[in-house]
Amino acid sequence: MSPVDELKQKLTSCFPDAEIEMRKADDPNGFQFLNVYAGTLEVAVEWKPNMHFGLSSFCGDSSALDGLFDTPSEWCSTTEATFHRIASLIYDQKSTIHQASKISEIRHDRGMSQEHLSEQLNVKQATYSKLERRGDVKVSSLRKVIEAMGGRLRIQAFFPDTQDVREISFE
Amino acid sequence: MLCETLDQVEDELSGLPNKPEPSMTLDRMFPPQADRISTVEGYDLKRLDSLRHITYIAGNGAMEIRLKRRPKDGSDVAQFSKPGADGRSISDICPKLAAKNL
Repeated sequence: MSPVDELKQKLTSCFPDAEIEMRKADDPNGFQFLNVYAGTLEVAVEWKPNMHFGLSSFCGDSSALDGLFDTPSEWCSTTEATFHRIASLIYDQKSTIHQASKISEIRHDRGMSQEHLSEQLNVKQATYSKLERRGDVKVSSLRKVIEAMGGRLRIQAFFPDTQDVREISFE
Repeated sequence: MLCETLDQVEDELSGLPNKPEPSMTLDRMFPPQADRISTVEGYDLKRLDSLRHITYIAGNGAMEIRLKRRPKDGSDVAQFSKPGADGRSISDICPKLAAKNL
C-alpha cells in the first residue's frame, strides 16, 4: 500500500461523507494524486516516491483557474502530518491559497512549542513570545524564526494592476 | 515535438536550467512531465494530472484542460479546449468524457 493509499484510507475512515478521488500515473515511480471534497472545501494532494506530500486547498468561491499548474502551497513530510493538516483544513474549511498565517499559527501547525523554538533560537521564551505578538518584525528575525521551524523565508510583492508577482531578495 | 520545441525555446530564452522540481517556482515553463501522465484505456489519449486539473492530450494534437470536479453551478468543466490537426476535439475522440473524467 502506498502512502497515498494509506492517507486515503485514514481520510475515508474519519470523513465518511467526503468524496475522495485518487489517481496514479502510469510510471510506478510517478506521481499519485488525491482530491478530497468535504463541504465546500477541496483539498488537492500530490506525492511521489522520495518526495514529501504537496497539498493545496481551495474554498467554494475559488476561481476554476485557481491552482492551474501551480506548485503545492504546503508540504508535509509524513502521512500522519499530511492527514492532520488535511483534517485541520477540513474542520476549518480553510483555503491554503492567498491565506496569510500568523507565526504562531505556523508554529502550531508544525507541532512546535514556544519553548522549543526559543531554545533553537537561543533566546528566552519570553523574548520569543514577544516576537510572535509584535505587529512589526525585522526581516532578519523572521528569517531566523522560519529557519528554526525548518523552513525557508520567501517574501513576495503582488501588484494588482499588472497581476505581477515578484520575489524580493535582500543583499 | 511539442515538448522538444518548448524545451528548446525555454533553453534559449529563460536562462534557467531544464530541471523541473515540484517544490520550486521558476520563471520557466516545462512540457508535460512523464511522471504525471496516465493512459486513458481504449483511446489514443493521455491524461496529465496536476493538483486540481486534468489536461487531456490526444494523438491528433487535440487538447483540453478541465477541473477534476465538475462545477456545481453547471458551468463548463473545460477551461481550455483545442481541436487536433484533423479537426476533432477531445470530446469527439472520447465521447464518454462528456459525462465524466476517465
